Amino acid sequence: MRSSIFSSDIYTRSRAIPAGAWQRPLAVSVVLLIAGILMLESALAGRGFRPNVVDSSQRWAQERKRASELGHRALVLVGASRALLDLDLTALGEDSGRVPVQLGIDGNSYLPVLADIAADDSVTGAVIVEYQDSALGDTAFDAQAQDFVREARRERNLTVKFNFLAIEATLASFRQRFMRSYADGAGPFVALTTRAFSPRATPQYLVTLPSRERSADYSLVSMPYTYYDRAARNAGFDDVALRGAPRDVESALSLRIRGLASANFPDFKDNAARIATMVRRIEARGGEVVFVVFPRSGLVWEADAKRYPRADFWDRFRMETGAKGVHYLDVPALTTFQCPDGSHLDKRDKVRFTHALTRAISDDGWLRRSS
Amino acid sequence: MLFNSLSFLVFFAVVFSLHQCLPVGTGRKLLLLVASYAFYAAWNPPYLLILLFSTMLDWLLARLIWRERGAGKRRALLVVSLIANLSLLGFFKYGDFALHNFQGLLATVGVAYVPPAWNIVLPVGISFYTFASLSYTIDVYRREIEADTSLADYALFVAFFPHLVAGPIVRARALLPQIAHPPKATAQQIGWGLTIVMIGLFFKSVLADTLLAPVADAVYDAPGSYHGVAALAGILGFAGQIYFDFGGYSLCAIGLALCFGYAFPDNFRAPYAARGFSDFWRRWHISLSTWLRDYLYIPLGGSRGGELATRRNLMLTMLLGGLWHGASWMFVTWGALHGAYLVAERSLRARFPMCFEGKTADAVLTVLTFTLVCLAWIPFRAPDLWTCVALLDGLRQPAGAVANQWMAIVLMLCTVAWHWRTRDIALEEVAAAWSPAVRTSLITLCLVGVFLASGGDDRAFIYFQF
Repeated sequence: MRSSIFSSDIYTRSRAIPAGAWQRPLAVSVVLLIAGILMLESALAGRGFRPNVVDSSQRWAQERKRASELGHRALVLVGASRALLDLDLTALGEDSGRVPVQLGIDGNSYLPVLADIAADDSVTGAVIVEYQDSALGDTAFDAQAQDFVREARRERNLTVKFNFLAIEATLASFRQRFMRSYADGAGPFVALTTRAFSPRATPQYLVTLPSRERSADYSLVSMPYTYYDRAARNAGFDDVALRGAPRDVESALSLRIRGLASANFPDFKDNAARIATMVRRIEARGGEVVFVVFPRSGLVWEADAKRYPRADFWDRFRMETGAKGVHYLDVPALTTFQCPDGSHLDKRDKVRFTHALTRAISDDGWLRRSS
Repeated sequence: MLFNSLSFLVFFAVVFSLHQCLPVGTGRKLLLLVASYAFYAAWNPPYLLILLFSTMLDWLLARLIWRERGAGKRRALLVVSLIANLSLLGFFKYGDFALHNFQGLLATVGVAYVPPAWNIVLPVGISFYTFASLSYTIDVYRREIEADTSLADYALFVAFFPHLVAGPIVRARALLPQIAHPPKATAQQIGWGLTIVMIGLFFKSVLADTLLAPVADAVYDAPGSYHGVAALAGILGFAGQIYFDFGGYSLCAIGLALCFGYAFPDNFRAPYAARGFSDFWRRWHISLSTWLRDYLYIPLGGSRGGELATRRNLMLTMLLGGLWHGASWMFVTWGALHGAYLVAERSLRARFPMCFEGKTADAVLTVLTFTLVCLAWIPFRAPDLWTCVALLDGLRQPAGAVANQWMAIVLMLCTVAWHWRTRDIALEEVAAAWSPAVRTSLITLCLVGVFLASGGDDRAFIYFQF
């Protein structure tokens, strides 16, 4: 048996090379791979997919670092998907005379991030916070945002900045910026099997830009079912059948929403006090914090109005914290915007909305242009 | 820096190009040394100091051992090397484990002791380069090799990046002569080297990470939830994952070294078609099993001291081999199982030699070996004994499986069949018979597979933690 003879090979000083050519098959294979990748990229382009960066805790950490480094010149955005999707950073920069830093985290409470920047004396710029009623019931901070904050702190505390993870993240980001096969964080396998050649592929309606800003093109998605799906998720319904005639689905959702009870947060007062402390700490070092209630429409608005009545939440929050705030319903220019999915603005409305919002904020005497 | 990462692709492209530009000789060696240190520093730069310390100490001690005539002094110098290397390994790898076991021991006699927080990160590859380095001082002590190598050559032997973090554990006797007279890689060697790197990456990225790991992870993460065929798929899935993960890494290491003209030994030879456990250990992680044989089992007495002593030596070797994999009683359990298998096989072979002959016996023995090896992987992968019991209990309850679990089972059956067919044939012999079209197809398959599997969560190689 050969196995017993082979055990002495541990001292081998030369390896047998299989006879025949290896360079040509290798070269042909590389050419075939490149041809295959080009075909895949071309098929994806034909279906409207385009490369985009993928958000990650490392990318967030880089922006978080900028929030500290920019000092008074920074305009820090804190919040969730509305902060990411509804604001155009270029327009915001032009209007405010500051450098926008996007620290929004999709689907997360703003509290961990606000707490983190409040505790960091190097953050001295202005802060716009996407107000979320639900955050006032958040006492544990056990959100994904905590992981992002931890990652940023870990990177800040690294004594040696040269590390494999940072290099790998930069290279992966570079690849994602130029290849459609990696769009939206998918891999080539997903791109090949569900996007490139499938007539039922979900179109790429959501794009993340290198600044972490996001854009949604709702003309690409199936309406009104995307809207119903968003409304159901927003209201916390996971048992509503979203099939059938649109009118029937809307009626069923509307009926359920009418039955929603107002939220009760026993820790509202304590959380409001914590937030007030954070705001005061930022303001004490020359910063400014403005809370903004972003637009919503239709069933999403109805559900939020039922669960978080304005008088019991937003108005009470303003009173308890004394924080600066803008509610879109108080500004006529902001009430004209419609959210196609009920919750977020379409990319075509971002610039107009950003100008209207910065005007509304400066009309109240806040966030004056940085010199 | 993982072999299946973008940063390694860039790193290799730069180092290989520079290497090809330089004339054969000292320049190339220095380039490889600097590149290897940069490769290691990518994980945690301060730990480079440990690698440097270990390298310089062993190089110096080996020279002193070689020059020394007195047996006592030579032995004392070897003991210094052993203590220094094993202390480093013990501190970083087993410090926390020892403290917690000490705490448990004190608790049994009613003493409440809270060990200090252990926030020390294990230096990657320490188990591998410590063993490689120790093989040098021990071989010099045994006068099997001369200690005439330069410090730079010795440093390259210890740190050469293809084997640095997860082996194969190369022997000084094999690699130092190659470094002393640096070989020039031929175009054939580079072509074949790159081909086996592709095969290794396909093993790792496609088979281990994409097809098998999700099946194994799901079952081991919730062992009580999977029964019958699904539980079996999890067990076979991990057996496949660890083979394709580590086997893939080893192929990459061998192929990369070959691109620079250096020959590394095989680390795996169709292990899942082994005829018994002694044969399994001649096929699985060969560089570790031969190291344990040469530097532990034989010094303990090997099979020279009678049957009882042989059994004791086998058990001790496998227990320590298990512990080498990590600071956990589960690894010790895995080692104990393999020790027991080896002892049982030895006794049965001595008592019933006829039962081990013939084609039927060969088939039965192969299937039995594979089954018991797979069962031994359960404590290796499971975090605790409860998980092992739950998984084995799940096996007894009839239940079906979903598509990816069936796929894992089929893949493992194909793997066993492939190992069976090639168990006495080296990969090079198989590859020599491939026509250019087959070669092109296989390399393309590997490249396309690795590309399609890219972009997800990159898993580290399992053996990096050891």
